[in-house]
Amino acid sequence: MNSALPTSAQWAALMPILFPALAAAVIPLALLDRDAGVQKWIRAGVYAVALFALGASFMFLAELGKQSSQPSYQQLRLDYLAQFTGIFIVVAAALAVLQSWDHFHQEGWVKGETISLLLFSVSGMMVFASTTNLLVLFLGLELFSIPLYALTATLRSRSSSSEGGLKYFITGAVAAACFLMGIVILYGLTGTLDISVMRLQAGTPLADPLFIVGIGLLLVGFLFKVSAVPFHQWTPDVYVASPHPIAGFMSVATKGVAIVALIRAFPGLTAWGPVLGPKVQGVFMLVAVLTLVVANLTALVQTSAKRMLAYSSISHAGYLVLGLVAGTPGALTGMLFYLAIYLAMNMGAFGLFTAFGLVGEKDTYEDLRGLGWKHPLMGLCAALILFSLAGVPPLGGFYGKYMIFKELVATGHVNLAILGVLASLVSMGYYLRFIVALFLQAPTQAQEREATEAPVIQASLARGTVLVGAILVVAGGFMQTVLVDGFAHRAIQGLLGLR
Amino acid sequence: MENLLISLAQNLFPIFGLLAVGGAALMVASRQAVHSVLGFLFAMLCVAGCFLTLEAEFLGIAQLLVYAGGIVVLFLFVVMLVELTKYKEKDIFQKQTKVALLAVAGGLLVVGGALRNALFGPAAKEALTLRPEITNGAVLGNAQAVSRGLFADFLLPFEILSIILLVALVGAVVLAKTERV
Amino acid sequence: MQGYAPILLLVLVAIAMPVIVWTLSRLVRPNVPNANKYMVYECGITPTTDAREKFSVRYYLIAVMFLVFDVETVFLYPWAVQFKELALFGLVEMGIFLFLLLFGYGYIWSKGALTWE
Repeated sequence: MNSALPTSAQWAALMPILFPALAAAVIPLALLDRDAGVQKWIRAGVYAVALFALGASFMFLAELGKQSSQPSYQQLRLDYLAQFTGIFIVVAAALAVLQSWDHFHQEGWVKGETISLLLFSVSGMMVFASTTNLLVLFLGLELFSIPLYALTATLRSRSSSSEGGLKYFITGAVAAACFLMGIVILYGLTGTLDISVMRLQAGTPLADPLFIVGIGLLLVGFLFKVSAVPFHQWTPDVYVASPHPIAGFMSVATKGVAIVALIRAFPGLTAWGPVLGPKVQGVFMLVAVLTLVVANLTALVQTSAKRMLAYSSISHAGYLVLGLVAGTPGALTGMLFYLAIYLAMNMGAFGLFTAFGLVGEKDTYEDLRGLGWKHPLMGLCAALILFSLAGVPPLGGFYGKYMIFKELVATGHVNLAILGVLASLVSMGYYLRFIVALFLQAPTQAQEREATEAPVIQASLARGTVLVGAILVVAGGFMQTVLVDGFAHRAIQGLLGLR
Repeated sequence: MENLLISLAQNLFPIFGLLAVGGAALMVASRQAVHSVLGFLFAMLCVAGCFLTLEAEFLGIAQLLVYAGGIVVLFLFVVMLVELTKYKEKDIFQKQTKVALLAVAGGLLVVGGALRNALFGPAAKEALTLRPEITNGAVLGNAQAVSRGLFADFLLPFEILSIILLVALVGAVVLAKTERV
Repeated sequence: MQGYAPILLLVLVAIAMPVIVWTLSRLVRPNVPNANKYMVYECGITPTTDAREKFSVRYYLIAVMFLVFDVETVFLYPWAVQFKELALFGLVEMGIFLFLLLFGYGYIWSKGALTWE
């Protein structure tokens, strides 16, 4: 076993994780209580440091992608899939940081620790996405979850915020405990912590029921983070409780890394042998069907737009899990493409609240009335993003779903594909309601009066991120081959050892 | 008497295990929060005993230090922070007893069934100590073996751990520190 | 497991002690129950409010900080037993570990979380 300090080649595997972690460790030190004049500059500095760290991480990962070598150090391995995920996380975090600048100014409170916690979460996610060792996987899970628990509850003046944070913490702790118990059982049975080695042993007739219990507990941990039904109850409360940018980041990045970890742990059906493979597939099938039905129907009856987006993010977990049911390389590639588009869509959709300057608990459809006409560009972006979320053809969201459904039909799961299409049709209902509120409903007189009295809202950065999201959504629709061939395809090929 | 002592010494692990389960049951079942903490403390002490009978001394001591020391103190603080007397009449914690019992029974059935092989199969006859190939022979002490694993094979997880501890500090301050305005 | 016999004996004695004392006092003492005897004892004055009060959340902060550094101490122990074998490498490793926590220490200190307002 490698037991020395990392060599220069090995440092490459650590760099993308170290940048955000170091920035996160330094930022809190700068946040002493000072007078308002200095405070302003410190805030700007904190945001600059955060963006610099994320940018450095991004550049590093992009540079790595051009090289053929994949650095590794001990249990970490920065393969193409990890690089793809790393870029995914960094972009999501950068968008969240930009939005939070505006959001925190609108809300009237700025805590630099929030940015620090976000960066800690980023480095945890990178650890989580670039290892097959279950122990390191668990540490990564904790490292990205604990900051998110705290971030959910940062709005301490609101009681719903603490409630959401506590709910997230307790349910998350139970899920982590299940995950850990699964690791213990699997380690006890196989004597290895590496899940790719474990898989080889599962190929032999290892029909020990305890093994299945271990895999089941592991799945509970993953599916909780994906927020698939029946492990979804925390999602709406937590998203509503947390600040808008953080909610967007959670919905995108947490789900993304958990899906990537699932792809890594369960790549295709043959990977876990003839005994366990079909069982795992059955679980995925059940979870996907439940998720699609429950999430879409519940989203229809929401009155809060933010809550609706939370249920919509649950339903997207359902489409993604459908990709795991198909399990072919094409489907896995489709999932990665879906994730990339999902990043643009959801960061954009949650960014809309900040872009419109909706603070506090103003997140119902009522509060959105007529805002589309007031900010025409944002209205256009909102329409694009929401149509893409619903899966309307020329946009990116459609192609993500299309790639997954195509593979489902090819592997003989026609029923599931039909269910998926039906679910997208139902989802059209609630996304349209958002758009109707934006464009077709005139604001009430009280809202008009409030709008004229309120000071000009500062939201240029958030509007920029929404614009980026909308552009990415359109680009994903017209140039999906670049993304798919450039990154997603190679990542999956590398994972499955096809090249 | 001597026979009793010998059989007692041979079955220390199951005894500690059962006591730990008893402590955990007390923790869940008692209506007084402080009694719950005491039950938890008892369970943790018994788990430390379990580790000792498995000759995992370092784990046993760590268990005592962290759980019986630190975490129990934390729980006592939490008990003091929350005014539980307000909720005593409302019976909020006993609403889901039936559901919980059902869930626990179901879980026991599944795990017990899966463990059947280990409990009654040939493996059950083996002595309950760590296998020598795991501890790298008896020459090394337990703490030395842990140290070798921790500082060589699991160097990276060890450093990640320090970041997690740092996150815990920052998170606690963000949530609990009252801001000077 | 041989080395633990004295400890086991100690534990048994420690458990036996209060049991014996309790039973003895139960046998010897007079039994005159009175409601006043169950009241909270507060220097002989009748208590006016419930003894259980809400504590400040600051205690929680202190407890978490204590816990974090407690866990850190646990990891110092295996380093100490292998100090010579790990040599400089171990020192660097432990240095990084402690340095990161030093950040946390500096943070809570400068933030004023250690002062009691």
